[in-house]
Amino acid sequence: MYVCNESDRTLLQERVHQFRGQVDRFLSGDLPEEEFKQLRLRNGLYMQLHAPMLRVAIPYGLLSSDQVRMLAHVARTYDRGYGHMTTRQNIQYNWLKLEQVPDLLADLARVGMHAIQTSGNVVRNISTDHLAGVAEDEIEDPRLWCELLRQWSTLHPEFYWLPRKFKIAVTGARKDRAAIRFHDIGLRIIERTDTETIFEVWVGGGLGRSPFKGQVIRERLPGKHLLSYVEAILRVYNLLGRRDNKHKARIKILVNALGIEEFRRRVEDEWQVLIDQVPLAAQDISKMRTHFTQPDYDTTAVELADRVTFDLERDSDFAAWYERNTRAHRQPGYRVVYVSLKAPGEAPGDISAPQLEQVASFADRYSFGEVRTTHGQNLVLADVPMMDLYNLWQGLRAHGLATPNIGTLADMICCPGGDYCSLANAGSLNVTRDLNRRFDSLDYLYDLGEIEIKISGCMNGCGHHHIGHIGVLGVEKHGQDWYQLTLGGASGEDGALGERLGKAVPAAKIADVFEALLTTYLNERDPGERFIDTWRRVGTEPFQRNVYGDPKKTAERSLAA
Amino acid sequence: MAILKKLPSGHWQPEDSTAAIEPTDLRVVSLADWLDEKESGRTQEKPATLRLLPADSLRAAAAEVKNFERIEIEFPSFADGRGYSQARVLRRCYGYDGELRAVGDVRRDELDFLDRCGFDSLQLPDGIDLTDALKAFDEITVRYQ
Repeated sequence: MYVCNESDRTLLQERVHQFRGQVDRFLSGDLPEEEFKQLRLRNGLYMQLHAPMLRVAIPYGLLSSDQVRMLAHVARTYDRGYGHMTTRQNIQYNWLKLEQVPDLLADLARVGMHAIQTSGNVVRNISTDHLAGVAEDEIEDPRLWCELLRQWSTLHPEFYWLPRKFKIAVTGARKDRAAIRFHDIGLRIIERTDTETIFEVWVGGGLGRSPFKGQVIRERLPGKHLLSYVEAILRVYNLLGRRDNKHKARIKILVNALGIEEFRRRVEDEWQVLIDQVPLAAQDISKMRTHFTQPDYDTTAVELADRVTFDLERDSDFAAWYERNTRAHRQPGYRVVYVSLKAPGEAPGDISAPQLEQVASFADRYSFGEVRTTHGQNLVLADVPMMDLYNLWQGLRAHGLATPNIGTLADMICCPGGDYCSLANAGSLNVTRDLNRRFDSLDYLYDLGEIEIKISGCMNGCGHHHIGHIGVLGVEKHGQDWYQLTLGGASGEDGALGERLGKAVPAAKIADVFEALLTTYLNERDPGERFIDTWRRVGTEPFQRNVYGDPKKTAERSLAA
Repeated sequence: MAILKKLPSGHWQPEDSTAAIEPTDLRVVSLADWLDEKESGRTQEKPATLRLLPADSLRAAAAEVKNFERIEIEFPSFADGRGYSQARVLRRCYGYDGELRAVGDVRRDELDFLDRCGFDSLQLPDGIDLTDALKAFDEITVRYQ
């Protein structure tokens, strides 16, 4: 992995020092609150319901075990002993004290970590496929491009005061696990020759209150022009994006107002100028590539891999975990292991300091000292020899990290919701609790198969409800939590926004509604068909009928009955 | 109103406020007015300072910029970042090499970014601590771009 060098470290130390000065000036009254707000947001610090919240950057979701230990230290020293993984592969701490944040950042800087640009109207953390470098369907490891983009976007002087936040995702695989169609810029590697990497460039995707699927702005972009082209997009957006209404300020609104052709024309014009000004030399690319070489795999691992067959046969719990929480690996004799942060009863994506420390030591022992965070709010140990799987499973299970539910209904994506977030209209964690309680049989979950549930506590959509197979959006009605459901959303190459099911339902009925939806699916499905495929075939109507009954009745009446 | 200016050495220093007012400070013209004047043939004297607003089309200004010894770019709010792109376009695309001054809601923590986008003259609000403001240029020494 890319390990920060001397100048990266200097930058982090300087940024900590600078931020400490900004906090001091705010606390002494020299910096007005509205100005400090903008400055602290650009360093990931929010003022939330109960306390300041800090979002720490995990560039493209990649961590060394030392960094994971530092995250545990931060949780224990400055927070209440845990952190929360986000859908953009970062980690959030919810219970901080403002005066301590500079010290916290100084600690993070010691292991090359920071909170730079994890919030505010700037280019945010670059996210990517959590299976980068190990996926069988990969064209090229996208992380070298992520790191080039990370450096380019860090404290970029022209783009520090954009109209609104700006999110970039990159994938190098055929299957899109990074939701690139729903980012401000989505980059998809489509070809790799001996000398060149070719990207397809998407622009204008996004969720929130006006969800849009992105559009292709350029079908083929050579990697050497990646930074100049992205810079051209940013410049057009910075100059023309709306600043009069924050709800209309994202690039998706501009792209749709101008139309993709006109937007493309303007970007290409700008690009003609920038193409020589923002060079990316072949040697810079090849040098960066050396940081993302494959680990030193044990070629004898494949000979001992058979041992796992024996363990699978004698231990059905292990077999269930293997089936659900591990994936094929490019390297013979290895598997990709998901560390589930979706234990029933826990908030999705939450992880405690002792758990983080355990994961760090498992990473050292079994997976080349590296850990990844996923868009789905889990962790991944990407390079585990199959002969070690049984031991690893036992270790993970002892710490509540082996719930065999990856890809099932229980693997829900969920924002912190009304319990933590000052923007939320409704709770979201209560929904996950209700669903976990109602659907607590693993056999039932396995029978349902692959299904993506995504829950947001408000229309800002941090839980990505628009692109869940079943999406849940919290809305407030007369001071109570109600939920609006959508069906048929998808985040990948088949990306689509979900369709509204019908009227909102009250919190007390959410599990009943899910049961009706799932029963509909089980009745309607063809053999082997996933929920999303059944929905695509039969549409929303059969689901509506089972949830709301007679279509003439309102949701409130039929559900309250 | 204090002005910081960039020296050829790259360092910044406050402009001597006791210096005589240069003739160039006498007239500031907006892009719209300047284009009007040109079109109607009413240009009487050579205006030295062009004032650009965030929504001004730089394309319209492209052919004009070399007529000005100084261009001011206005920041109506410190959070409005259009001026940074305008400065870069003027410097790098149109080859403008006169004085480029940031005016309006210009704040201490943005000075280094303004410098890096090509401003060499900064108009700061009254009451700002100049000694402290000058430190802003040296806080971050590592630059990726």
